Amino acid sequence: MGSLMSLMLAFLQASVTCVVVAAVLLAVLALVRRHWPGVASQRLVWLLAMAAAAGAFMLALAPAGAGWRLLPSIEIARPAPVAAGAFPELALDDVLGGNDGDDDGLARESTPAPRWLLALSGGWLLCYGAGLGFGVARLVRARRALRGLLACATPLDARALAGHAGFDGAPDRMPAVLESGAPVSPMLAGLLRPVLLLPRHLRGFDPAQQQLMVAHELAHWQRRDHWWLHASLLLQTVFWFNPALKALAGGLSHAQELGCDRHVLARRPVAARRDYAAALVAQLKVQLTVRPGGAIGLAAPFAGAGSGAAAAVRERLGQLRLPDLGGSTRLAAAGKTALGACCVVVIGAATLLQPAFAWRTPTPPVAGAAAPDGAAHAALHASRGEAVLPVWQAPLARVKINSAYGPRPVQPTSQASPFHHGVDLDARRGTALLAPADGIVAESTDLYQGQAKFGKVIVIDHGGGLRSMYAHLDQRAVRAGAFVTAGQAIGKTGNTGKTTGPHLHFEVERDGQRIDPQRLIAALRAP
Amino acid sequence: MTPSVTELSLLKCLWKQQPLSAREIHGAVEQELGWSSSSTRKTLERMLEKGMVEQHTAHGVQVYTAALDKVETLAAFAHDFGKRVMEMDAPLPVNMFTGSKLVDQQELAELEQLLQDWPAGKV
Repeated sequence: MGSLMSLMLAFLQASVTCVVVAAVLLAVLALVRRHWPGVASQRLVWLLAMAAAAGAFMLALAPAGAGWRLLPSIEIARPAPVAAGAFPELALDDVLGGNDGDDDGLARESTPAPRWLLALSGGWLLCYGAGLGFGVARLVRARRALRGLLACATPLDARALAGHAGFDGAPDRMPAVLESGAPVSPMLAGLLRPVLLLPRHLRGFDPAQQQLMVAHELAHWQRRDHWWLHASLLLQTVFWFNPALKALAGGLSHAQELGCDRHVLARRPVAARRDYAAALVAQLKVQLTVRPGGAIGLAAPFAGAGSGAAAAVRERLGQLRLPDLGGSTRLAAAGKTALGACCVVVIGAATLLQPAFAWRTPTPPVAGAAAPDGAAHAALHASRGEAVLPVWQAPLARVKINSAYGPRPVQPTSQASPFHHGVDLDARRGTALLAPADGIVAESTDLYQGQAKFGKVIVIDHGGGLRSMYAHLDQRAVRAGAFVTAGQAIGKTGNTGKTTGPHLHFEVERDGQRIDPQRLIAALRAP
Repeated sequence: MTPSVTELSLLKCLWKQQPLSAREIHGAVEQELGWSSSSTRKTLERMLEKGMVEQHTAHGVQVYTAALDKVETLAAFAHDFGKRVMEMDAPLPVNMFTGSKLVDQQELAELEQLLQDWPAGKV
């Protein structure tokens, strides 16, 4: 449950980061564009900015990123995991309640994440899933319509192409060409095997214009624009919630058109430019007939998009009128490097300057601690006259107490001490032994305190003067000096040493004094 | 009535050569659609109900012919799909000459004016 919550929080945080990074980059690009209009036609710049936004999302989501952050963590206190599955009667609230009683000081120390934040992140995850589903469905619908359009189109073979005015002087290597009766724009469709779809009405245009339009689409193909476009589509779908990223994608698509315009006209006479501009406008005019009644019926939903489209075409016409087609404002390699560095800086800043949400498992207080807050602790508890103990999980997945800590009602063997300094848990030979808390293996031996009566023994040092000992094991899976984490399997229980049957004997020591393990492990307190 | 893309595939197959049995149709579209012959039969049944194809018996075999005219149907469908593609709100996986958004009458008039004002002679 804790990992789901931390995932939800990380996801919310990554989403916000992604939006902020994309917005910052968009603003930077808008600023650059005002002084350096040529940036509009650099597709690499726009794709790089989109990739940076996506990268910032991934970095924020990566758990390793938390270590690099500069801002203080927002910490969320939680009890150490208890084998709740095995003890359905132990509701989480009980554990939390017990924790409050014992570990007031620890709870006070961390800043818990507010409930509303958890609710918000959970809600956001659901919302994201729904939005993604919607986006994918929309993409599927668009693809289906496109497939329908392609299915209705007639493939043009070599002979048909030879008779098409638009392919005069076209290169030998070309994608497949289809012709459609629909008044659509010429387009390059598909990813792996792209096809060039031309409307039949194109044949009605001036032959020079036809050639320019075909050359434009072939330029997309030669420049591998369809790869860039699909990458952009993928990012737009995954980050559907990010309006700035959508704007960057629009910038990318526009850059591709500007780039192809320049590519086509760079090697043609200046007079061709007006023809080209006229072809662009004529094509737009034909497209208007697609919509019955022109713009009248659909004014509302298309008003916003339409004005943007007109602005884009106006900018393309503007570029055509520049003597150098905007070529002299092209970014030099140095400019691209600078923009790349800018993206890296923004990602870096986004990663470093965000608070890390960290689940904080209460750790054992350091006795007589060096840390100042530890000292405050000690003082706090000294005033209460009782030291704080951490919360541990049970060393076995299923807990059944054979013999509790304390005076023994019955002597199991004649040599056994009348006071039981540990807990005996029922365990068949081979039951997995789990570390109850993080620590370092202090001993892993067959001769504990030089004696064989304990059988195979593991001792873990948990810090803060706390040690735990496990006896009569069948197998020891860790060596002295190994670091173990809570819940890690460290061996198997057994029947070694002096016993009357297979079981786990375990003890907890604080500052050399054995204490009742029940005080740390809630599961042992259960009836 | 708009046929699905798969229905169109079956129709195009019949326009090339007809009449054809369900098995022959399946043989022709199997590669393109990548589905089982029961899917082809099911689609044919649906198309029969919609009146897109007709069924006869020839030499004891059920055969199908297209009930729709090729040129008319393709033109109508192309227009319909074209309209959907051009009006699609979703981002499309295509590079379009004019960009993937439409302009309205007024904007078009402005652009035409821009053309009229194109600097004569050299640019």
